[in-house]
Amino acid sequence: MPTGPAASGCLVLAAALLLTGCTSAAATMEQAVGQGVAAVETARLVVEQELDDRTFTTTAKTTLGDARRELVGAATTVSETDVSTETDAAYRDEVLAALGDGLDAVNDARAALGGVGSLDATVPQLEDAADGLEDLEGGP
Amino acid sequence: MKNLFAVALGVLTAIGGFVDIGDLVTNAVVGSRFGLGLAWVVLVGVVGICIYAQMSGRVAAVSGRATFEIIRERLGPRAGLANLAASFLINLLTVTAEVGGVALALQLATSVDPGWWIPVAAFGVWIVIWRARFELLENVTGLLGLTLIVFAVALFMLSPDWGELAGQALQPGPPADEPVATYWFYAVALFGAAMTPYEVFFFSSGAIEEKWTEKDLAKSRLNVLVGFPLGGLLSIAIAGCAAVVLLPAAIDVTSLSQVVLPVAEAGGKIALSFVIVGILAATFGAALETTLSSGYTLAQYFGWSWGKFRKPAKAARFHLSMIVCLLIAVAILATGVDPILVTEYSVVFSAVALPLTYLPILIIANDREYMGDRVNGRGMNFVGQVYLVIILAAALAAIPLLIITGAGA
Repeated sequence: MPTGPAASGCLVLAAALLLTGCTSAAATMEQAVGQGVAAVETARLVVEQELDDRTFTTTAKTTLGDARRELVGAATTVSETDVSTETDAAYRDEVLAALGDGLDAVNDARAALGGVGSLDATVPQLEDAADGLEDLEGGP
Repeated sequence: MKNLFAVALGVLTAIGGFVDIGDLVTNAVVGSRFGLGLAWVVLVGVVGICIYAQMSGRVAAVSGRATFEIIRERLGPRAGLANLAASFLINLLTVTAEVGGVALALQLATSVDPGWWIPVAAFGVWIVIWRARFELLENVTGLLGLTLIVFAVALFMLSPDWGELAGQALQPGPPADEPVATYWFYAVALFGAAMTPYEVFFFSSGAIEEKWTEKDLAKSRLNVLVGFPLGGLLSIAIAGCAAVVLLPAAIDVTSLSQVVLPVAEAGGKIALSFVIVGILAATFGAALETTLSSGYTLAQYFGWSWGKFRKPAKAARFHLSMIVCLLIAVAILATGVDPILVTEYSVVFSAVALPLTYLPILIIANDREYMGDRVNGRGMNFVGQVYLVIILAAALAAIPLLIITGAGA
């Protein structure tokens, strides 16, 4: 059996790759749910600040754009996740739907900043989206 | 009176210049995930940077030469090249992160896509380096960066539960829902952000630019020993703001726009204005420093004529190398890579390169040939060596932790 620093290094690398490569579908989707919660909560906070006149519209727009990017990233991750059980498949559909609701709410908020629709109306929409995602935390 | 003013200005610019995009992002990320549970790392990092910055400043003031020039002469071209390679590559990554940071700060103010601001930011950095005097560029950005004190003001305005924050800081450790490896990954990242190599190169080369002599040692020591710890407190305030507003809302920081949310929450548009100006100044100032540091390291290793005190025509390769670095930074950012991601990687890889940066400084600070009677005392050597052990541990742990945690995901 090979010994020495090079062999030890290879073992550490192999162990690390094994650890990172073995992330389960459920864990990946859970992580995406956390990402979605953070994005929707960010959007809710900045919309409330905009309604209270505590932030600039340019900053709010940027924040909502960043939140949207996060949600799109999370939805892409989930939609590209291979599932091997019925439970995981059902969970994936629920997560995708919840992320879609979050995305709709963030898009509506961004549109409202541009004068299309009411910004007030997006607050409950964002709250519902956050609740929907939080219900999915903890896995299938 | 003039001396007092110079000391005050030096301290203030050290505070304002301490925070860069790496500190901003990493402290906010850490605060939003661990509260103040990693505040101890900032303290450890600040003590480390104080020790080595004043050591490299002393080398420059006593020998009349920048640290990097001596490293090659004292340790030979091979060891010098290893030092150059590590420092320069990290520097380049940091230049990229800072230019991206300027673009993101401008996006916060205008909502214009950062892709449009990146060339503008790089051009701004180049023109200032080309035209402005060294003292001017250092002092203006440092003083404007002081507006980041708004993070500390915001923390008070948020009326947090101080007992809870103190509890997080005094009983460090990962929260129940965070893996231990992730906690240590961010500890290493925070340490790398506090001890970024460019800071010592800039400090030591700046000493030559400003023509320090042994008479200036007390002033430089004061700048470092007062300015940097206060800058560290500012870093903790950034984490504190995130801990109070973002952590309870389960908002993990992934963008610069989230970093300013607690400030707007606390102080509205006025506070937000200050923080945007502060971030712009901090990132622009750091972009200047890192770009200059890239030029300094290359020129000092290859023996080119260098320095802002010379006209560009008299230090052509020095200036050309900085232009190339800025173009590379723009090219990297033009691929569409997220500047925040670049920042996160730059602080982790900073940690990897730390031993190659700091060991030579310790060796030279002990060499009587260069330092005469101003070599390190026993106490300074002891602390310096303790820090080398910490630096080595952080460097060795950085890459495995990066892989195991999926970059702290």
